[in-house]
This record gives sequence, C-alpha cells and structure tokens, in this order.
Amino acid sequence: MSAAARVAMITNFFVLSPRGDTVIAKTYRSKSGAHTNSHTEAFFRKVKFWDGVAPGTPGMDTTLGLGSGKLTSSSDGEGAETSKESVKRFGDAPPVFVMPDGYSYMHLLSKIAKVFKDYCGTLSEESIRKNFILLYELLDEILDYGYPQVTQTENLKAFVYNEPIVVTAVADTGKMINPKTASATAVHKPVISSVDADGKKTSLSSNQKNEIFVDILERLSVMFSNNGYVLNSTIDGCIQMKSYLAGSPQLRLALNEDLAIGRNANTTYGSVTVDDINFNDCVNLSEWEHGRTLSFYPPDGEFIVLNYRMTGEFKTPFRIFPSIEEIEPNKLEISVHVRAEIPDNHFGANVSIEVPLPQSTTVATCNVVSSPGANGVSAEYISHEKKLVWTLKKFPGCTEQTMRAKVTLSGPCTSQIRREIGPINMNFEIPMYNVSSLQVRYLRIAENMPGYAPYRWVRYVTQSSSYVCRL
Amino acid sequence: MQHPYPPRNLPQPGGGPGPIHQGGNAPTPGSMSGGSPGGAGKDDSYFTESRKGEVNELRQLLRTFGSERDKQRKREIIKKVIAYMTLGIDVSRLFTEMMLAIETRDLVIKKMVYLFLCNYAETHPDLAQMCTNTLVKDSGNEDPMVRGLALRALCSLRLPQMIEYTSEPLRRSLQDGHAYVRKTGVMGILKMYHLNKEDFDKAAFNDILYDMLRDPDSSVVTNCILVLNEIMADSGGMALNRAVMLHLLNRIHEFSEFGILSVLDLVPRYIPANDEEGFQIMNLLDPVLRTANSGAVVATICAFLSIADAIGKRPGDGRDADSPSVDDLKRQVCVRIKAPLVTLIASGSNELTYVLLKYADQLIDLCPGIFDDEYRQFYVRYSEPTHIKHSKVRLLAKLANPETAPDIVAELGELVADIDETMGRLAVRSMGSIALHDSGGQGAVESIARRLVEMLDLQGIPHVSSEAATALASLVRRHPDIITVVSAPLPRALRYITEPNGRSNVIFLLGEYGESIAEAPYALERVIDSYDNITDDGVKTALLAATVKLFFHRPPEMQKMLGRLMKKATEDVSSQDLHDRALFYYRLLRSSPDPNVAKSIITSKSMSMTTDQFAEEDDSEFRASLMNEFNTLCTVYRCKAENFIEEENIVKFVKMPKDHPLAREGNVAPVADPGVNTIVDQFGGTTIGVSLAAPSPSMCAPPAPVGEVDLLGFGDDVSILSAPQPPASGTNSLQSLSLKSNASITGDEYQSMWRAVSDLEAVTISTHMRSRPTSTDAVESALGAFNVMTMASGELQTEFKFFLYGQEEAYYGGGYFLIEAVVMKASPSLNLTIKSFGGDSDSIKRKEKLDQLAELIKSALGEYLH
Repeated sequence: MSAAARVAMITNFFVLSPRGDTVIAKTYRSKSGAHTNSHTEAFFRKVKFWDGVAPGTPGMDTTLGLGSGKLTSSSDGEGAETSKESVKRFGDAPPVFVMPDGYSYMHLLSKIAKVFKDYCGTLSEESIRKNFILLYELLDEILDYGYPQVTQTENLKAFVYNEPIVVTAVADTGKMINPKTASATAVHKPVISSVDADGKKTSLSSNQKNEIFVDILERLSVMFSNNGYVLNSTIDGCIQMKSYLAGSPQLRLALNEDLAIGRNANTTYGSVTVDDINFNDCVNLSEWEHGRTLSFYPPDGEFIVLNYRMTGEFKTPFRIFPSIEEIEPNKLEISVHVRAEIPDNHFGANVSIEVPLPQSTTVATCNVVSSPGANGVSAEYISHEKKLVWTLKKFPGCTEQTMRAKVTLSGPCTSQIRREIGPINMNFEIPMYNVSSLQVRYLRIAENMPGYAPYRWVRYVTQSSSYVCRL
Repeated sequence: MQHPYPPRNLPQPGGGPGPIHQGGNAPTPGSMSGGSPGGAGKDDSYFTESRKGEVNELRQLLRTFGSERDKQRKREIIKKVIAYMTLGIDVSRLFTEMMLAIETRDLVIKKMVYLFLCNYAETHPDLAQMCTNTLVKDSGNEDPMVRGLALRALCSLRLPQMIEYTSEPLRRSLQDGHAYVRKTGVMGILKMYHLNKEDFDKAAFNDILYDMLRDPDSSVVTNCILVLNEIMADSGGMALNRAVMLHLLNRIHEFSEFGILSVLDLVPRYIPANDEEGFQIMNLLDPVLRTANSGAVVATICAFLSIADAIGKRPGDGRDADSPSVDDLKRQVCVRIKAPLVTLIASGSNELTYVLLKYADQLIDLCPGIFDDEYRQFYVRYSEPTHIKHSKVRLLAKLANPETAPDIVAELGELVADIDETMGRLAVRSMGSIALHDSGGQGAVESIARRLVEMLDLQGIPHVSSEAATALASLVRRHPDIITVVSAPLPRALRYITEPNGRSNVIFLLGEYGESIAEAPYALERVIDSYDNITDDGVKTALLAATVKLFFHRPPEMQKMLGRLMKKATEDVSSQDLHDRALFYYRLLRSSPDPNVAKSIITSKSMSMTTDQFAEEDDSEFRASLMNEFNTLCTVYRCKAENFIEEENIVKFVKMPKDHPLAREGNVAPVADPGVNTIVDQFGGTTIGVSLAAPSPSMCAPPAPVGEVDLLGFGDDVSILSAPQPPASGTNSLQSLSLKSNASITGDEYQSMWRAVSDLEAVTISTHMRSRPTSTDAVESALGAFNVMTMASGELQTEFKFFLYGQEEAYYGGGYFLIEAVVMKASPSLNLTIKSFGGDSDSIKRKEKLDQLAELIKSALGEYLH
C-alpha cells in the first residue's frame, strides 16, 4: 500500500498585480539557478493566457502562486482577474519535494489572504504595496521552509513588530454601500495599532471602541419555474463576527432553542430545521446539544462562528412572474412582475433584475410600472450584452412592481430564439431580515465584568446568491 | 559588480495587455509616507520606476545609516532596499552595507536585513559568511524571538560551508526553553538535511525528533512530523507505531488548524490493532467533521476510509459473519461525511468549492448513489464561475437514479441553451450519459432520446445539435430499439449540422439504420455530391463506411452514388487512412466471388453494445488507484501522480505497521479500557531511560514490524484517552519525578535560587484554558495534592500570579523546582516558567524532568485546561 504525501508545502509565494508586476515574492525553497522572476512570469502567463490545457499534462509541476486577483476577490472584487481554473500550475523547474494535498493548498492560500486582511484592514493592491514589509514579516512567521506554522491572527501578534499603514478603503463605485447591509467585512480596521497615511500613529486603545460585530448572513439560492413554482431552494447561512473586544473575553451565543439539525430529525411544528451545521475550531460545543448555546473566545479579526445549510421549505422573499407575448412575428412583449412577500416594514435594497434577450435583438424599450414606495427605479436595455436590466434601489415589502419591455428582433421569433430568453436573475439584499427564522437569542460576555460594556452590533442580512426564474 | 544590471521593466509576458507601467499602480504622490519621508529623496513610493544610479544612491543612504538616530528613518532606508529586491532589481552589491545594519535592537530592521541576507546568501557565499558570527551570537540572545529569528536565518542561508557553524546553535535550540525556538530548530534540521544529505547525521537527529514528538508544544510536534516525513521519504515516511499514533491522536485537539492536518495525514498510514481500536479512532476524530476547517474535514474523510479499509471484513478472511464488510463500512463513512461535505461545498470560496466538487466526484465513484438525495445541491447557480458550473453539470449525471432522473434531466435541459458553449455541450453529454447508463429507470431512455432528437433541430445553436447527434449515436448502440424515435429527423439534421463530429455521427446512424429510413440514400447523396467541400477526414471516413453499408440494404438507390464516392475517395490523397479504406472496400466488392461474403462482412451488427459502458469508459482500475491517492492533487487533476510529478520527486508513503495486525483469530489482547492507561502515565513511567546519544537501530529502519520497535518507549497497551485524566493517577505513576511532600523553603531562598538560574535554562509553557479558576486557593489546593507548594500567590487586575516550588526526593537528586505560574483572566491561559535548581547535573535529564513537571502541573489543573 502506498499513499502520497499530503501536507501543503509552498516553494514560492508571490503576489502579483493584475498587470503582472511582482508586489511580494518570497522563495521558501529554491532549486539553484531558478530566479524568482521566472516563476512569477510563468505563473502570470498561465493565469492571463489560460489555454485550457487539461490539468495534469506530463511535465507540469505543482508550484503554485496566488494572483492578486484571487487575493482581492475575497474582499471587494478589485483587481478583477477571474481565474478559470482554481489550481494553477506552470511548467518549469520541478519543486524540490512531495506532491501536496490539493485541498490544504487552497485552504492555506485563503488563510494567508485572511491574515493579510486582518492586519491591513483592507485587502487591495494599494494596501499590499504599502504594507509589503509587514506582509513579508507575516509570511516569515506563517510559513517556514514552505510549511505552515502560525496561521491564527491573534497568535501571530506576538511575533510581528511592523505596524500597518492604513489605506482608506476604495469606495465601491459600482454599488452603493448600504450601511445597513454592509457586512462585517466592511469594517476596515486592522487588528493591531496602525499608522495612518500621514505616518501618525493611531493607537488601538484610544480610538478603539469596545465593540463586536455580528452578522447573520443568509444567501438564498432559489429557482422558479415560469409559472412561479419553486423548483429548488437552499439557504446557505453563516454567523460571522469581527471582534474588537478588549481582552478577548469569553462570549456566549445562544440560538433558537428548538433548532433541529438533520433533515430527519424529529421536529415540532414551527421549529427551525437546518440540514447541516459546522463550527469554527474555537467554539466550545458542550452546551450545544441541550441549550443550543455556544461559548468561545473570539479570535482576532474576522471569523465565521458557524455555517449552516437549509433546504427545507421557506417563504421566498420575492416571487417573480414573467410573461412573454408575441405581438408580431418579430416583436415580443416581455413583462416581469415581481411581488415582495416580506413584511411591509422591510425592504429589498439594491435590487437588480436581469433578463437576457436573444442574440438577434435589434431594439428594446422598457418602461416600469411602479407603485409608490419604490425609489431609485430604472430599467434599460444594454445592447452589447443583449439584456434588460431593471434596478430598484429600494423595493418595499408587500408591494408589487412590474416592468414591461418591447423587443424587436431581426427575424421572426422561432422556438429556438424564444429559448434564448432568460433565465431571469435577481439580485437583492434585505437588511434586518432573515428567511430561516434562525435567531440569536443572546450574545453575552460569559462572565460578569463590571464596567465592561461593549457595543454589540447584531445584524441580519438576507442576500441573493442565485435567485433565478426560468422562462 | 559581478551581476549585470537587470532590465528595468520586468520582461513582459507575450502579447500582454499593453505596456506594463510599474509606476501606474503606484499610489499617488504624497499619499505614501508624508509624515515619515523615506529620506530617499524625491521618490516617495517604493515601487516606482527606478532610474540608473539609484542603487548607488541607496548605498549613500546606507552609509549614513549608522549616524541616523530616528528609528523610523532607519527603517525607511532598509525598506527601500527590500522594495528593490522584490522588484527583481539586483541590490546584492549593497551586501556589505546591509550587514552593518544587522547590529540593531530594532526587530523590524533585523527582520528586514535577515530577509535580504537569505535572499542573496546563495549568490554571495563569501560575504554571507562574514555575518555568521553575528547570527551565531544572536542565536544565544536572551530574547527568544531573536534566538528564533537568528536560527531561522542561519539555517536558511543555503550555504553548505555553513553547516559546521550551524550545527551547534541548532542542537542547542532543540533544548531551548521556548517553543518558538524549538519549533524553528526542528525546521532547521530539515534545512540542514537538504543542504547536505550525505553528511547529515540521520540517526542522531531522527532520535531527537522522535523524542520531541512528545514536546508539550503542539507546533513543535507538528514540525517534527513534517520533518521526519521528509527526511525519511525514501523509506516511506515517518516510522509509525501504535504508541506514536495513539499519543498523537489523544492530543489532536491541541493542534492548530494546519498542525492537525499533519496528524490526520498519518492516520491513513496506520493500521489499527483491532476492530475496536479502529472504531475508537473514528469516534475520536468524529468531532473534526463538525468544524469548518475544511482541510481537516477532508483529511478526516481520508482517514476514515483508510480505517474502513483496514478493519472491514473481506470475503474469505474467516471473520465473524456479523462484522461489517469493507464496502459496508465505506458506505457508512460516506453517509456520515455527506452532510458536512455538502455544507463545505456551499460555504467555501470558489476555489475551495471547485476542489471539493472533485472530491465529491471521487466519493461518488467509490459509493455510487451516495449523494443522490442531495442532487439539488449540485444544481448550477447563477453567479458561479464557469469551472464550478462545469464540474456540477458533469456530476449531475452521476446523481441520477429513477427518482431523481426526471428532475435532473429537466434541469440539464434548461442548461443546454446556455450562452456558455461548453456548458451546453456538457449538459447534452450528461443527459446522454444518464440514458446510456440506464440510471434513469423506466422510460427515461426514451424520454431522453426524445429530448436529444428535439435538440438535433436546434438550428440556432450548432454545437448543441452536434453534441445531441453524438449522444444519440452512442445511445442507439446501447438501446437499438430507440432508433424508431431517432430515425425521422436524421436526414433533415444532416442538412444543418455543421460540426464535423456531429455530422459524422449522423452519417453513421444513417448508414447503420438506413434500411428503415426512406430518405437515407438521398441525404447521403447530397453529402457525396458536395464531397469536395468536406474538410474533415472523420466525416469522409464515416461517409464511406455508411455508404458501403447502405449499399447492401438498398442497392438500386445506392449503386451510382457509391461509384462516385469510391472514385472521389480513392483519388483523395489528403488522408492515408481514408484512401486505404476506400481501396479496401473497392477491392472487397470487386474481387469477392460471392457478394454475400462481402455483405456479411460489412453489414455485421457489431456496433451494438451489451454492457452499459464503452470499453474506454471502464476505468475501475484507474479509479481505484486514484482512490489510493485521495486528498492529493491527483484527485483535483484526476490523473495519477506519476503523470505530473517527476519520478524522483514522488514520495511513496508506506502503511505502518507493515503487517496487518488485525485479529483474525481473536488472539490479540483487547484494548484496555479508555482512561485507565493514560498517556501521561506512560510518559512519566518509562521515557526517562531513552538516551539521546544512543540511537536504537530500529528507528532508522522504518517499516519495522509492530511490537519490536517501541519508539516512544511507552509500552504497547496505550489506549485512547477519552476522559480527562483523574488527577490522582498522575502522582503515583511519575516514578522518576517524585516530589517531597514536606519540602519547605523560605522566601529569600526562593529568590536567590530563582536568580541563580538563568532564564535561558527555564522551560516556559503556555496553554490555553477552557475556564479560569475562581480563586487562587482552588489552584493551590489542586497543586498541593501533587506536592507542589505555594510560596506566594495573588490576584491582580488581569491575572492570577503564583510562585510555586517543589523538591525532588533525595533519592532522585533532591533538586528544587521553582515555578512561576500566571493565569491570564481575560483570555484564560496558563503561562508557566519552570526552573530547576540543584539535582541532576545532566542537562538533558534536567530538561526532561522540567517537562514532566509541566505535564504534572497541567494534569493537576486538568479541569481548567480542556
């Protein structure tokens, strides 16, 4: 019997800008003669000009790098360099040793990105460039000879002496940030005291409020058939925290007492049932089975307390009713009717609804039948992408909105052309609302500490992950 | 100097998107470091274009470094050098100047200089040698950080001639009181090994490393495992026996996120001593599946499957009829891990999801049907990147069973018209595969065939109709009766399918089943008449074969066109194969005395299939070998290691113990009750005798049979520790460390002894606590039960502080142990500093006793720790 080595080992680590400049390069193990530049270039070329060569072509090696596109994709999508294949390799000098475990590689890289973000506050090309010495220092401690050593933000603090230079987060111009739905990730503060852009030291204690951010984030994947029937629905939820509490006291977090786990679990009517749930390493589960209470010492920086998944029935916040009418052989009228089924004190924010149109579309005009309460409404036809985009900054609960579009095609509409229409995709977020009715009963500091009054920011956010209606 | 100046701009990857401006990404002027100007003059960004002479400018700056007082300015200067280095500019000629900066108390500067040093040492060995003294000196510094850093730098120089300077500090570091230094030292051993494998004292170092597997600090243990695995790669990885494995498993909760992986990865190499132990290990690891540490979850899956392999019943091994078979066990494992895996797939980043999907794919191969009821989780989501969508579409075909098939086929049907061409193709292929493997139950084959026929007519999307034709051709071979559904649109389809692959498949079908399709000859005739326009050899070959075949069924209609085609094909020199075939058919038809002979040869129905797999699809052997390499890149690439790793780099890990020790006749002693024989006991009882200097030969020959090697020397009947250890059992068993129950010293004595022992010799340990004690009394009484006395204690705002001591029995040396214990209140953790005074003169023994004492204290305070 034999098995191959599985532990992640990194030969070279580098961060490249989307243009291919090296921002950070560290060699953990070198094969004599090979200059780092040859690796970074080869990697960059592979990413940028991916030729779709099947993985595992003989002669390729397993050295792996982390493009800046990938680093930033986890934060705010800057440096948009979408990778077509998750694991990138390039053919050059073979690595010194062993074949690594595909999984822990990726896991390690995302971990490094997280640590960078915790220390720099934001993760962007600018922040990486400005803090490169700090990042070198971190890399030195995170990896030794290519093997992971210390990867927890709070443990690294003991070894790291540089201070981060804070870069103000670039406002995301594409999307208006809604303060109520901006997630905990939007808190751009490094975990250690930092120097601001003017070189003035901002000490952690002075401007640091004693606060903790808790997000109950639910991403919905729902698919409707054209008659409004729900074909598939899943909630991927997580409880995410970012703690700036002084002294990292133990916290207790209690969820619904009747929370049931596993689809076959015996449940009483009205109770919340999740299919599966997993927890952060730091969580103590001794009171979980009985009281549905977790206790933990929050690690520094951002972390996910638990992830859960639900596939049971739930009330979809929006229902989509599309209809297509053929008024003339080459003219269509498409109308999309959306009903918000959330209570009227809630609203959908940053709602956008996209309707792909056939390639043969020549002209399309749309108008919106809006009811009061909705604002920031617009609908337009984007000709180079051949789709209709209908946006609403605010979509109040318990209302209905309709958009009608007249589409002219270059030829008669055949059944094939009709198939090109759709699916309709909807993006939205609903602040302070969650579909699963999973609830935080309380979040407490475990021990009574007089005078210790932290700010607790608990937010519920529902977002669309894949909210699609078939036509 | 020696090196030519590299080009200013990094070489540009071919055909890049416009010129690379290094300045383009730089922050706007002034935003950089307004308050702390770099001192480097005009440029206030590290990554701007460097002009000629800048390196010289830097040298000037470095010369003023000594007289510079401001710490920030000093840092800025060094920072600039590192920035240039990152850009790939050769700043190695500043070596001498940089080395002068190494003498500093500022750790930030020190780290930067070390970085510079390690980067250029290889190319400037003589210069690097100059700074050895400083490094060696630093490795004896009183600050453990500095010791560790210096040691790491020293080992990372990659200079073979440095080994002699390095080995002494390295050996010293392994005895260091601080885990950071020990951990670095262990990694240093590996670096030395790679520098000079011939002279590496494998035996001696391996002994030390095996010994350090029971270091109180888990990060040291992790590194030991990593290093041993690598050093012993030739002989199949770190030697493993029951004692080592169980010891590590019992401590598994102490390991960090990645450290745990190194332990979990050992499990597949371990063969449990009996069934019960196998199940115990699985139970012990089960909580890992509940964590979000996806790497550990996957490693646990791998461990479970391997244990199932080891303890499951195989046919003919003569075990109890009611013990579960290997396949049953593996299925149980898969059922257990299903939900966690699906959750991870849904919650991970795209990259992680992609890799996990590959894993799920392989698990489905192992246990078909296992994910069937979760099929909706594998539906494509709108916002996912294409590589994930593609993986999911491929997987969906494998999830079909009679219940799920209608939904899955309908879903795939929706994806066919996707804008992404590959996706459309994959969706059609997946549908075809469901029908081909008959996984859809009754009627599914026909309904899928109807869908595919519909797709043949999708004129607007050429790739879909082509794929549909290909799928139908395979399908008809498997289920000949569906030709009735397929036949009608074929002649029509031939008119508008443009892709060669689809065309040749339609032509194939027309040739095979043309007898029942009225229009078949005319459809073929049109193609034959446009022969000159066909560019693809495959289409031509298919056309030839189909025409000849159809000729025997419908000679009057076919004769003329066959003649025309023969003429064209035999004259066609574009393809040797085609030319030869045409000649072959021609001669066969002409020379055969009896046309029926030719007919029987050509029209034989050899094309239909009897199994549900094509020969090339039968890759069970390949899949089995992939399963052996589960949780490696092999799974992700779906190919074997030797295909993408050069042979000399492949490491084959060996299962240990070598022989399968499972009780077949029940003659192996049962595992002792959990909690009775505990690890800590074993440590205290028997390890002291293991001498570092005398390597036992068996350690260097790893695949030693179990029972002979007792690596840690703690007997063979170690069992899983399930409950925290009862405090009382610790005292009795620690024979070599026996504390006097009536020890007593005064405060002054305590202080003088404390001062007499340098901090370097102290052992410091810090552990995380589950809960903090309520008062100092609670701790004191717990320790008092172990004869650890309290000199003084007190409660401060943020911590409890204890000054403790104990005295050894005179028989064992009568030395004193002085302990400073600090319990942090806010994030409960226990920090111990232990010194020994008097007693054994042998430093190794002293060190071991200190370690034991630390263990003792930890077990005494067990209720707070875990």
